[in-house]
Amino acid sequence: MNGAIKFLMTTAASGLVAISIAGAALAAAETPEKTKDPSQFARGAQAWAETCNRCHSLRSPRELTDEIWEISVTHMRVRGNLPAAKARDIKAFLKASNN
Amino acid sequence: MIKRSFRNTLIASTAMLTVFGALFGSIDASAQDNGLEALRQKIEAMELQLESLKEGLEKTKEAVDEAQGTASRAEKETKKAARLARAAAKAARAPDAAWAKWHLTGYADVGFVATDGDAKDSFVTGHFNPGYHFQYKDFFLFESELEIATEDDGETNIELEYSQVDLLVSDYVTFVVGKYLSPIGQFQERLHPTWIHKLADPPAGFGHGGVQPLSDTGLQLRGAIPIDTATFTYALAVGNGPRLGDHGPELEGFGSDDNGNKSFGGRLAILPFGYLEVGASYLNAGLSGVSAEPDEHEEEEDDDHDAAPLKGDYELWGVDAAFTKGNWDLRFEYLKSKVNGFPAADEEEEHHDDELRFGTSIQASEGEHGDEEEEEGHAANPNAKWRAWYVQAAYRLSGITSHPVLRNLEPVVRYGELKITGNDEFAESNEKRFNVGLNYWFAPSAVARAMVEIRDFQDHDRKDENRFQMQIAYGF
Repeated sequence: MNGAIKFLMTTAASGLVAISIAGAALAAAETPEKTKDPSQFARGAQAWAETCNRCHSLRSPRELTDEIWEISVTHMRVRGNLPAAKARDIKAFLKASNN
Repeated sequence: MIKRSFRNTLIASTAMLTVFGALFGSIDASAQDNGLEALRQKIEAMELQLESLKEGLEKTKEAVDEAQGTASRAEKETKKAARLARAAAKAARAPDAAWAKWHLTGYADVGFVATDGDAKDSFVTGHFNPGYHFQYKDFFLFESELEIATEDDGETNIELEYSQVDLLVSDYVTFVVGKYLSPIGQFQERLHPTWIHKLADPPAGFGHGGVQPLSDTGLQLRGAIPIDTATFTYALAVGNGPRLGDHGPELEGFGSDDNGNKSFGGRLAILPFGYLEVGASYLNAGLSGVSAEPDEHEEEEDDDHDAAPLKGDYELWGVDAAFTKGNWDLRFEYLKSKVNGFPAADEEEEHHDDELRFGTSIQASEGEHGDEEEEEGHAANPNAKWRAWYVQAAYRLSGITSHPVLRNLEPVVRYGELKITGNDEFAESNEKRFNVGLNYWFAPSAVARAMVEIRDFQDHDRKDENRFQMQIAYGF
């Protein structure tokens, strides 16, 4: 492999590692307060409709329990590269809609 | 002068008529009075009956109103009780109170394959792929998937598809460490489960043994960054990389690095809207092999022929796009890869073809397998170029009909090609493949499908094949 490309990619990877470690430390230091957002349900409903059929058919909120939606959405956030805020909105919508 | 007799007669007649008239009149009046009285009595009786009916009707109406009220109150109480029961059940589960959660998931499929090729028509068990998710709080997830399949000879084969730890260190960065599905393209990482991709088998050149890398063992940084209404996603990976096999590079996650040369690659994508995604992928790795060790007889004749390590390069790039608005599902993926840098067998020298080999068969022969393994070794120059692509369109009929059965149907068409150049030994796999299928969705993750597949092999020595497949797949 071209040595210059390898060096650039290694440098980029190292930089991202450093940024993410700093970000993790920052996130741990500034834990946001959990406040109820009245518009989160609506945002979550829209995000669910737009995002959760990108690969597979849209699954009803009533298919799974709150606990399993908690894990399933985390898995989809990683697998589908979902933005974190959107994943939280979708999780809130699903858990509020599966009664 | 009127005669007295006539006058008297007239008077008498008149008197008699008057008497008779009065008499008859009184009789008629009496009859009329009787009739009227009867009628009056009848009317009075009917009025009494009507009053009685009205009273009865009023009482019935009151009873109905009371019953409706009772039913309405009962319905409200029932709904309230159901809400309370659900809330109680939810509280009993106490899901968010537990820091550690786990989830058994996965998918399975079964089916039937009919072909006009050499293989016999067969029922197939397909795949059983259990997946395991273990999550701690909201930042640590371990996920793993096995693939359990019945081989043609009845043996059960178990493979580890992926086994990775996900550390969600921030909103924009996730560490993935372990064996992970290749982030190259979309098909392998997101579409390969049979209940997700729209047809019964992968496109030509994708899936096991194809151009598409399956997995790697290493480290990824991945995440998504919102930019206004758009989203930018990335996945950067470094891993042990592929190895050189008897039939070209083996693009799977290996438990160790055979050459100390790590693979680098990943995918970048942009979603300008939620229903449109465009991505580009790249992968680069070093491949290693060795030339064959000479046998004892050759060693006496040619002392200069020693085993020597050989190195080459593997490089892949690809593009992909997906449009998933409403009932449409349109996809395109293109992958191009090459292996180069390995020396070709020198046909001018008086060497046997099997003196220059590549890949794991050589490494195996250097161990305890001995001459027999060397004789089975594959003689090939691994330098080659691969190209695979497909385009697919699917449409769910619920967009044009509300019929309870027809709305669950989804026709699909797909065309794809696999082309290998620069190496005649690999070229027998070259094919053009056309698929047309119909899915019936029992549920969002349960589907029954039928598919016709036309395989046009480009190698003249290989007979074209047509297949009919039926499959039931379920994602749980």
